[in-house]
Amino acid sequence: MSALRSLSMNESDSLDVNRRRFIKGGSAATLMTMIGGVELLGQTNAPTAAAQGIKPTFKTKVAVIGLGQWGRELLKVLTLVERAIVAAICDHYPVALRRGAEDAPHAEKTADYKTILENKDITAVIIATPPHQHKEIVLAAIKAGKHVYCEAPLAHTVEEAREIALAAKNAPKQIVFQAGLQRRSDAELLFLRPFIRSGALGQIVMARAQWHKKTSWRAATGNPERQKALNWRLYKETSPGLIGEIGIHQIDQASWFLRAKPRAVTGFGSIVYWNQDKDNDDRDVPDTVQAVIEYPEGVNLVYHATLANSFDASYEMFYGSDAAVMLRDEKAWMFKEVDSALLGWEVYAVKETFYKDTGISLRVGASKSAQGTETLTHDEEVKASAIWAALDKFALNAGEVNRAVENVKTSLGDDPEAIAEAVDKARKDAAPAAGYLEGYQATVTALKANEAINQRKRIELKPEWYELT
Amino acid sequence: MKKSFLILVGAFAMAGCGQKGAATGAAGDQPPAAAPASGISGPKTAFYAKSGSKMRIDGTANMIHKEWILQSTVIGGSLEVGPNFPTQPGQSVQPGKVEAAGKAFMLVSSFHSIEADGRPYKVEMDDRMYQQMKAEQYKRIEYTLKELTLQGQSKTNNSAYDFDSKGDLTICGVTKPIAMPVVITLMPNNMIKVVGSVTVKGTDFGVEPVTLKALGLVTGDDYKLSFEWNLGQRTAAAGAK
Repeated sequence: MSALRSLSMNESDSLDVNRRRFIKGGSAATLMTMIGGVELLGQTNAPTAAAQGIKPTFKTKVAVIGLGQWGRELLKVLTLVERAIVAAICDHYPVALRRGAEDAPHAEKTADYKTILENKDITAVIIATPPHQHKEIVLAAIKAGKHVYCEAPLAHTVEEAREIALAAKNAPKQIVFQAGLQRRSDAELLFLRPFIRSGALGQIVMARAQWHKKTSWRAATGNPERQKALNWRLYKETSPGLIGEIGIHQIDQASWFLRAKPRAVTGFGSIVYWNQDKDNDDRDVPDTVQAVIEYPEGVNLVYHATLANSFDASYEMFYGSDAAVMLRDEKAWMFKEVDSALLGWEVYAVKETFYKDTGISLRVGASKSAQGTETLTHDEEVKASAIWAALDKFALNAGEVNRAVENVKTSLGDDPEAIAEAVDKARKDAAPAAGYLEGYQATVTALKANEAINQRKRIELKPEWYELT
Repeated sequence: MKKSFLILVGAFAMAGCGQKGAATGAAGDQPPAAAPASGISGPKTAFYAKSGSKMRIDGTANMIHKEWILQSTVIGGSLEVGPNFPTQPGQSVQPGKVEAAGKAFMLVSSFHSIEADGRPYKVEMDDRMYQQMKAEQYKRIEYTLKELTLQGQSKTNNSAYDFDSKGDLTICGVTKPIAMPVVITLMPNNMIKVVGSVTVKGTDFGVEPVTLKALGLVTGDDYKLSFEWNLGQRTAAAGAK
């Protein structure tokens, strides 16, 4: 077996896009502190100590449609979301369905998503098929009155993403649509966002993001007919590329923090490394890409991703005239400029102004991780992740709408106005999550960036592309 | 705030429904029934729960998070009244007993913790509240009206009338008699709004105060229940179920 082959994933490997760890435990904090970083500590997604042992009483029955590598990751995480009941799983490929059943043995299994849509007990579906298969299932799910979590990118083309987003926009208010931009539900990032927007970094001048992992992305299969379907990520006709699959989350985070839509993107990409075994690997998607995403006022996001090297793994930076912030491994570090005003830890004073109602503290120094005392179990680690937070909020928001409707019907009878009012309130009070507009706009940027990469050119991103009319 | 929240959630965790009560709503959350057989002689008017109602539970602690609030925005039930119930705004009335019978209920699952300004407070608090109140077993807080006595027209609003009420309150399956003044306002379109509040002792319903000795924290035994309940008459087209 070639060395290349040994690096390819088999179907049971995890894509591990969310649980990468560059440096574990205390050494990360030590390193960052040595180079002048201050850890920013905020809320975590993991349940607080007092909340340990709280079991949600009300649960939402959810189905997962699409059990490829990422679908099975979502399924595994979903089994740790206590307010979700994994009621059904679906994949038309028997091997994938069987593997999914190992993680959710009590869930109904089906190869046909339509049987899930016909099941009145299942009110919410998670669609994790490849992007080019999203549209048919999402539209049918919305028509069937299901709450929908649609993985990002929403689709493989801007046109299909628009159709999905418009279907969500025009759906009855009782339908919750959540785009699979899990960072938008992450407690740490929700905390950081006002901090970064507040001017604590001074004037933001640049951003950077990267994703490096030496892996072929090719999944091996003994079934040659299955090869192309399984490896949809490697072919341009079905793949949004590295920047569409991975970069979409990092770029959306930048757009979210900068509160701006990008104006242009320039890209480069090549198959630099994974082209050595042409007999067994006929991919046409670049394995190494670079892009510059231009935001207003001269602020650019420089992005690079590669499947050929793992150094430095994955992180994002925001550079400001007073400080830089690094986001890595679900932590955040602030690096102050030597000549910046003493934000010092007069942040204690600033805390009241910024965070009066949130009780979140910014503090220097001895954190659990710095002391090397932070060790999480696997389940705790999952529950600290953005993807857990996103699925938890999907189950919560869908369940709250369901209960709002049921409570009105039980208490007042079939009163359409009262039901509408209760649904409005539930939607207004919903926990933070990416909606159809955020999902659509992130998809536009990611797909256009992929286009720029494939064509090695600069594309101006027209404002009307981001509008849903 | 974060620390106080932890303590509050911990405190609330240790309070909660006792074991003695019978489950409510166990027959399932059925659609609202017609007004109960009231035994009222003479012409009756039936009012049925409508939207726009609010029920609030205010609790206390001796320190840190001294006040906390739960709120529901839907109250079910019905009220039937006899001929001596005022029907016209400004109608002059004689104080005295009014023939009346009624039931109100609030689904525990409809309560959420809120900030003082009405914004949602914490999902963890809600989860803990449902768990400790055994919301699946004791689905409802229920009130049955036994006696209604008209005191007179309200001094500040000639469409509103002051009453004293007596009835049975059921929380966590435990039923206790309560008395409270209520103000009933006659609204347009044959609607009425019933407003009242009562402070109950948690211990009366099997909910013990919590003492966290290490902090010197004691939760209050007093829970103030306050409500605004909207009701209206059914039209011939809507019909009664």
